[in-house]
Formats: sequence, C-alpha cells, structure tokens
Amino acid sequence: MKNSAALSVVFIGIVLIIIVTTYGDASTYVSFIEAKELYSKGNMSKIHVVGKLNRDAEDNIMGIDKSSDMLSFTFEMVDEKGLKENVFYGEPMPPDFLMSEQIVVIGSYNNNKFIADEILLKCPSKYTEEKIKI
Amino acid sequence: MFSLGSVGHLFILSSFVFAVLSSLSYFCADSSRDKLDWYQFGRLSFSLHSFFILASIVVLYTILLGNKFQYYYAFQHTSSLLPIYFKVSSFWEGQEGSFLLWMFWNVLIGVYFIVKPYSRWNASVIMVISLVQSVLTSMVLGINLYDIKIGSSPFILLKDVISAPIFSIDPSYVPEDGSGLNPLLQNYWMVIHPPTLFLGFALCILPFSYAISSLRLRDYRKWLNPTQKYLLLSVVVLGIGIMMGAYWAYETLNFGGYWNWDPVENAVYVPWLFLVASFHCLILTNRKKQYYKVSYVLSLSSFLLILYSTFLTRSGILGDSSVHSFTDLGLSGQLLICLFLFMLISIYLLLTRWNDIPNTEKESSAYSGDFWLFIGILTLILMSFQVILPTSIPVYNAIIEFFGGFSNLAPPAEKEIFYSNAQIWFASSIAIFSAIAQILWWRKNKSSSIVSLFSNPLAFTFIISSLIIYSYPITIPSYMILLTASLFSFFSNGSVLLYFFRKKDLISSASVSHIGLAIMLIGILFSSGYSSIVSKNYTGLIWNNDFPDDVNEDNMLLFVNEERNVGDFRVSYEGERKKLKNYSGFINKNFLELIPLENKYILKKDLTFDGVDLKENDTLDVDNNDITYFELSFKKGEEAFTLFPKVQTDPNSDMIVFSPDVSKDLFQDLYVHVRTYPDPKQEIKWSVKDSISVPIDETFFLNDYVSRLLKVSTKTISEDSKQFIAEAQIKILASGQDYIARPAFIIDDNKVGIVPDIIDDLGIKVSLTEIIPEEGLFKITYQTTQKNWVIVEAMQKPFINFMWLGFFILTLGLLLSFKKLKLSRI
Repeated sequence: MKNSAALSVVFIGIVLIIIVTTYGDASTYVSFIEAKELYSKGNMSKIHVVGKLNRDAEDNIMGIDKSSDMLSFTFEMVDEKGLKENVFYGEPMPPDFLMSEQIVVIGSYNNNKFIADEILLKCPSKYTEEKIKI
Repeated sequence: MFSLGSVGHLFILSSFVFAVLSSLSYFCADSSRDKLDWYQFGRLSFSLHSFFILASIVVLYTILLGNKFQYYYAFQHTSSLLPIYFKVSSFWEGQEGSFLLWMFWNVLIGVYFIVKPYSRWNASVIMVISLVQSVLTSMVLGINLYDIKIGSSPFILLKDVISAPIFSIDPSYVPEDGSGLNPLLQNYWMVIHPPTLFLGFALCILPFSYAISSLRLRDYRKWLNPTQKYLLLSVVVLGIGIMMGAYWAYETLNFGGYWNWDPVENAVYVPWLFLVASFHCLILTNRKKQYYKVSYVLSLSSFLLILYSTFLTRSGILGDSSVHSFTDLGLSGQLLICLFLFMLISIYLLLTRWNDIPNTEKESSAYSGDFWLFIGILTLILMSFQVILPTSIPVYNAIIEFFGGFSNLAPPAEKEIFYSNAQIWFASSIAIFSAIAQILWWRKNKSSSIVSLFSNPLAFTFIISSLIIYSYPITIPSYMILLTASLFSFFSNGSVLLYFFRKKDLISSASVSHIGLAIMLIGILFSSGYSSIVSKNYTGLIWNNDFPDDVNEDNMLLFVNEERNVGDFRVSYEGERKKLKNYSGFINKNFLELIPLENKYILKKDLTFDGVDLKENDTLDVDNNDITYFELSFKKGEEAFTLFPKVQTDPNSDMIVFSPDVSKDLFQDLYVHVRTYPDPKQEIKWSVKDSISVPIDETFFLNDYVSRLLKVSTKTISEDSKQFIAEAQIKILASGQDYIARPAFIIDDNKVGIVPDIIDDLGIKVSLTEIIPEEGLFKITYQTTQKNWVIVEAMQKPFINFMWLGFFILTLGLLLSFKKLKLSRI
C-alpha cells in the first residue's frame, strides 16, 4: 500500500492547495465606501461592487455620459447601501445595459475614479420590461 | 376550440405523466412476479412519453415558424423577418426550449434502448432515463400547486406575462412582430452548437444509467464494456460541442479569444474532464481489474456534474458572476431538488453496495503503465477541482446566507490569469503522464530497459524544445514547461504509434488522441500566450481624447481609400458593403439606394455583380439590412487578401455588435475587427455649400472629383397628381470607382423640395437645387464632410490553427478507438 498511500497524501495536499489559493485569490463584494477605504489604504486589488443604475422616479436613467465615439462611457451607479458613484468603463456600452435591473462592476479606484474592468448585468427576462410597441 | 398553446401544454403534461409511469413500472418490475407485464407497460409508457415530447416540440415549432406572437415564447425569441434557420434556432434560445432540446435527445436515446436487441441492461437503463425525463419535464410543466410554481411552460400567452395596458383594451391583441433573436446569436453556430452540446449532455446519462444499473443489479463487471463505449461517445460529442462554442466565440463574438473562463464555460469544461477521467478509469478497471470504486464514483459524478452545471447556469445563482447565464425563471428550487435526488440515489446505491464492489489489493508498480494512467486520472480530477471550486463561490455564499451568515466572497477578479496560471501546470502534467503511461503500457517488456524506451523521445524533445525556446524566444518558465511537456507527449506517443505501425501495421488510436492533445496544447500555448496586437498606432496622433489610452495606442484609424500600415501590411479601407440575398460577395453600399420601410434597395448604376449583369433601377434584396460589412484590403509583397469585419445593429435597441474577420494561415491568424465607425444616427457636420451650374453631359469638378451630369429624368407620380420630380444622375469618378449620385428636385403644388444624395465613401452631399430651362443648365450644390472612416484593431494569433488541428486529431483518435471497441464486442 505504499504507492497508494503516498498518492493519497499528494492528492489531498494538492486539493488543500487549491482550496487555499481559491480563498486567497478570491475577490470580494463590497460597497463603494469600503472600496474607497481599501484604495486609500493602498490596496489595489480588484473588487466587485453590486448595484443598480441611477434611475429617477419615472424610471429614467440618469447620469449616463457616452463618449461621442461610443467607445467608452461613464455612468452613475447606486450600490446596495444607496451610495451613488460615477463609474468609468473603457469599453463600448454592453448590449442590454440600459435594461439591466442589477449591475456588478469589477474593478477598483484609480486616481479617485472608479474604473470598471468588467461589467456583469442581470437583466429581467429579456424584454419584459419593454413596452410592447404598437 | 382548443388553442395551439393549450394543446402544447396538454402534451407536456401528458409526457410528464407517462415519464413518471414509465419509471415507476420499471421499478415495480424488479420486485414483481409479473415482470414482463410491468416491462411491457413501462415500454408503452415511455413510447407515449416520447410521442408527447415530440408532439410538444412540433407544437412549439408551429408557434415559432407561424409567427404566432400572441405566445410569449414566439414574441420573445423570434420576429417575422428572421430567416428560417434562425427561427429554427430560436427554439433553444430560451430555457424552456433548451430543456425540450435536451429531452428530445434523451427520448432518442431511450427509444434506441427500447428497440435495441434484448440485453439485461436495457430495462434498467430506460428506468433511469425515464426518471431523468420526469425531472426534466417537470421543468417545463408550467403549473401552480398551492402557489408553488412548478416548471415554466413555453406555451404561455404574452398577455399572461406582460401586463401591458393594451390587453385591458383589447384582450385578443396580437403584436405585429416579435422582439427577434439577439444579434449575438444570429449566427450559424447558434444553429448547430446548442444541439451538439445538449446531445453531449444527453449522452452522459448512459454512463450514469449503467453505473446505477450495475449497482442495483449487483453486477459489477459486465457494465464496463458498454459503459466504456458510451463514455467515449459522450467525450467526443461534448468535446465537439465545447469546441464549437470556442470557435463561435473566436470567430464572431469578438471576445478576442476562444475561451474566457466564464462560469458557464467552466460548467461544461468540468463535466467533460470528469468524463475523460472516467473513460480512462474504466479502461483500467476493464483491462486490469483495478479501481472499481473510482470508476463508479467518476461515472456517477460526471452526470451529477452535468446536473450541477445545469443548476449553476439556470438557477440565476451565477447572475453576479457570469456574462451569459440564462435568465432566472424561478426554477432554482426544482433544479436543486433534481440535483439532490440523483445525488442521493447515487450515494445510497454506492454505500449499500460498497463492500460488495470488487477490490484489488494488488499494488501497481511505479514502472507500469497502469500506475501512470491512474496518476493521470487523479490529475484530471484535480484539474477540474481547480476550476469548479472557485466557480462555485456564489453557491457557498448562498449556503452561508441560507444559514443566516454573511459572506462577501467573490470569484477571482482576473479570472483568465487565475485559471490559466493553474491549469497550465495541470495540462503539462497530463501531457507528461500520458507520455509515460502510453510508453510503459504498450512497449514495456522484459527485453528492453526503461531507459532505452524513453531515450529517443527525450532526446528529440530536448533538442526541439530548446531550439524553439531559444529562437522564438520563450522566456516564461511555465510556458517552457508546457512546451517541453507537450513535445515530450508528442514524441513519446509518436514512438508508440510508429512501433505499432512497424510491428503490426496497426494504428494505435490512443496514441493518435494523445498526439492530438499535445498539438492542441502547443496551439493553446502560443495563441493565448503570444497573441499580439499589430494595429499599433505609429502615427503619433491621438484618435480621440475621450478614448482610453489603450484604445488610442492599439488601434488604427483608416480613412476610406487611403492606405496605412497595419503591422507588416499595407491596409486600405474600401468602404461599407452590404450582402445581397441570393448572391455571394459584397456590394458597395454607395451603389444602392434604400427603399424606406422595406428590406430592399434600388441599384443606382449598371454593374456586373457575382457574374450577373445588373441594371440600373433593379430592385435588390439584402440579406440582413442590420448588418454592414467593412471591406479592408491587405497587401504585403505578393500576398494580398480582403477581410470583411462587420457590425450588426439592432433596430429595437441600442445594441451594436461588431464581429471580426480572420485571415487564416497554418502558422498564424490575423484577427481583425472594427472598434468603431461613424455613428449612423449621429448628425453629420457639413461644410458650407458650394454650387456649380452645368449642362447635361459636360465634365466638371465636384469638390476634387471629375464628374459628369449624365441625364436628368423627370416623372410625375400619377396623372392627377400635382407632383413633379426631376432626378439628376451624376457620375463621380473617385479612386478608380464610378459613383452615381441621384439627387432629386420635387415640385409639389408650387412647393419645392430638394432631396440630396450622399456618397459617404467620398463624404459628399449632392443636391439639385435649381433648374434653369432658358440656358439648359442645372445647378448642382454640394457640401463635404470628413471621409468615411473606421478604427480597427488587428491581432496576431500564432499557431492557433494547431489548436483546432490538434482537436481534430484528438477526435479522430477517439473515433478510431470507438470503432475498435465496437469490433471487440463481437
């Protein structure tokens, strides 16, 4: 049983390493305030912030600033604690962005601006929010 | 009268009932004296279940193809203008349809086992399939029991889903058109990729069913042969399905790569690795009578992982971490029950039979093929753990929150780096272990020493590998190791292949597969590790201050008909193109005049296109008016080619999808896509008007272009109409092309209207502003603007075709072993 015992030890060892690195490299979901705290402490790691687009009472989206070429844009996002923040995204607006009911931005603060590297959207079942055009 | 939808719903309900009946009757057969009666009843139930599944698929297709937009599924996923093949594929755009697709394949597999010649496994396998079908059908049941929603039916009416005010005014209102298929999915891969993937999913049921059956029947040996065959089949089909998705992503989705480590991709990658691991483990168990228990665990868990990945992608739990999981239909509870049900069955059967399952105390020596094969299997398992553990982070959070805790753990932010950096080590190990195992398995005998077996492959590996590392050059240690490992696998498996070929004139299918894998790994290494941007901005100009820095640095602005360097190429942007229906090739958009509200154009001049002589004023159908192609011609010495990257806009939304075009070469792909182009909706800033009065057929200069007023034709719309139209036809010569501008001058009941014509290749707007009859002159007014432009990004992907080629060889090898397995059974 020598070989298999050794194999089991190595196998379990690698599983443990995988678990530890998974935990170590995992990012976190935070609010903008916490993200800013991390940034001011010099922590440059990328974090996730969950929130929504800034909509007014009539459901109009506010604070979207598209560059003229459609290559990048800035938008206002309200995180789960209700804090509003401008988010810059250096890519064209993702499809269905304006229809999203929830947004997750992955990125970090840089020069006091929140820069998103990636945006994930949760959309309501594709077009239900849309009024039927007659 | 029954409506189509209620008929469809009834079919679904019936198919559910018969699936349950079928599994129950097969189950009862075991402990009954009237075994045969129960079997017969089970077979009948399964046949009826199959019939109702097929019938409900036919009904859903009738709704989709018949543009019945009163149904939510049709409204949501199709539109009347969609070509037939996309209507076919709109079936599986939604969750309900894709469940039906999965069930469709399960039904075919089940029917195969009903008509198949008798074997003691058939009944038990159909029992498991029926049980799986019962659970899957429940996902599309669409009924409410005591306020609990069970399943989501594809046959619900639009008015039951959307509470638009129109329905309170007119309950029988039917929208004129659906919202169409997502432009990202309007691609032929959407037609074949999901069916292949779901066939792969469906095939995984067989190893699972056989494992379950063998445990139930306490027959621990005879299940190995057929299971090995079906495992191989599911490895092949699921593998092809995954690679199709990768190719789709590479070719059209503009991710710039073929693999993104998105949770949805991971959710199929992991079961596939498990299938590969169980296939290898069954070989060990079957040939060497070892590791029975591991074989069971792996065969069972491959299917459980398929269910787990279904849960991940369809429950909405990945909503915060994936770009493209399905939208949440509120089925998470049901999906979870489904997963737990099959997990509990597997665990129960395993535990109750654990001590019965044959055990081999015999220890393999470290110098045997079995030993290294088993290490390879363990590596595959670890390789999957490394992916599935982080992918499941949202699940841990959900569990912690369920018990009242709080966790803000998120998946790794830079997932490409996180996964690739770990997977590269596992892949290197797999390459090395496969080489050692193959050589020891096939070539080890008493006469030859181990050293002599490995000396040649090792020598080749070190020579070639150091040559490549030195000359390419490769500087990153992990890349060096992956390259060396892959080459080692290539040469070792090659030596086995050669050995068999010389000795017995046989092809060793396993060696072919592993050689394919080695080539694939080399392709992945170079195309991912050494992909480089060739469209570096060398002009020193900044395209736009609003652009992020990397966009200004890595992209090239090209004006129409002006050459610039992109990498080693001289590149010229030739303008916007449209694709015509029934013709191959692309036509210059400036030669066409759009007929508003129709998907049609009028040709502005005579031309020969695709070998057909077309006349002025011919009406032409475009393939899809939402798609515009950009013609880019590339030249390097003698080499010249044209690429057509495209953009697709969506009339219903702001959505813009750019797709690349790729110039393929065995050693290198040039991957080109348009980053941005002048927004068609944006207002154009025109220069101050300039005008010139000319007679017919005189040459004049329009801006800088030699032009000629060919004719002015007049027409009145109808006899009693007071409308008079004069349309000038002006030929403009520019960059070797004849452009035609057709501005019009309209008199309508003493009011004058000017309809200008725009040639956007030239950035010129031409109007006919005055007719001077006494002098026979026509006043042509023109304004100019910036010429048409695009900003392109071009990337080089070295050796990417080695990946596709390697995968092709890998699949070929697997098919060869499939043939051998079939033969060996007779």
